[in-house]
Amino acid sequence: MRWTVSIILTIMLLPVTGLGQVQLRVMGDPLFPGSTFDLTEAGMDYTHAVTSTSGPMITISHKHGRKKNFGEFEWRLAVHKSDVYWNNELKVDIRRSGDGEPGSRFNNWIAGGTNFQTLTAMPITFFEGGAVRNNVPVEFRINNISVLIPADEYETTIYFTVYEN
Amino acid sequence: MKLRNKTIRITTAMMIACFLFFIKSYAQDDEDGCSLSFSIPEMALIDIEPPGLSHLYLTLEAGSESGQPIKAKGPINDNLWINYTSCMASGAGSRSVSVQIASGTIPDGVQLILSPSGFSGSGQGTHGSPVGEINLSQTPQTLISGIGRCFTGDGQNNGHKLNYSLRISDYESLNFDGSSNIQIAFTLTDN
Repeated sequence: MRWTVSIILTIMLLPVTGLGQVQLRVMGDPLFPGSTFDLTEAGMDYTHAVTSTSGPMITISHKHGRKKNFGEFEWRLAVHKSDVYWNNELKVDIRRSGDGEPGSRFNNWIAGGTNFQTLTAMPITFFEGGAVRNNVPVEFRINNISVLIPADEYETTIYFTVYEN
Repeated sequence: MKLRNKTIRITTAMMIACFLFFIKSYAQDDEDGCSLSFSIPEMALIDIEPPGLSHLYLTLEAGSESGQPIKAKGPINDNLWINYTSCMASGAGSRSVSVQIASGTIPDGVQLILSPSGFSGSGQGTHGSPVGEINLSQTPQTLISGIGRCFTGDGQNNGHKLNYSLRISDYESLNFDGSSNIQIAFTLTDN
């Protein structure tokens, strides 16, 4: 009976000691060049695609000290968007424009996400990696910008979700 | 024996529960986000192409046979096009192009007629429709109506070709040496 209780307690405490505590932090919002909408020649349309001049930085870490310090965890980052006010003709692409900085001593790797992918309301895998990763720069591109789309303010929220593998 | 079986069952159930808890915790995630926003501004641009050469010459020419009417000659440089870009908010109605003589006076006995062609070119969207022939004056008159969100394309052969002509309205008032420089203004306006 004592053995049984010990096993149960061990299993119960195992998650608390480190598994499943990967952390995600997204710093900043994307900015787009103001010149995108500086149209000066009659008869012309806007440049159809605009890429952000600065974007958010993503940091992935872990609450558990040993995992954090020794990089004993791997993760996958998913992304999707949720429209606040949007026009369906407008498409948003995302990619990471750099690797960021490794934040652990071991198991530092990052893969995927360097090519533009189109965001929808359905989560897609953005990129994945191992160990702590700081300040991964993210770039956005808006496609199909045109005078044919009603003049207005458009907003969508980009959600990132990290899963521990 | 009965008590032992019951203990085993409870233990097994607890282990399964703990295992499920373990799996759930293993897949635990964290979420964060950012906001992407931008504005598409209202836009109303209009010009005449080709730039810097948007002038033309119209003359009256006497017939070669007595008794024949005087004929309008020209115009020279008969390839002027009106280009425009229009972007409006949803439900904002439409726009129109109006035209008027901004400076100069048309010689007596003559009318200056402008008749734009329908849209052609590389643009897209809801282009306007010409209202037909207009006898130009100092009073603004609608030339093209029903313009929505659109662009015509840039340069000649995009938009609406401007067809000018002179029409003699009163022979008695014609002045042989009469000539005039006339400046014509086009305005893209909200309706």
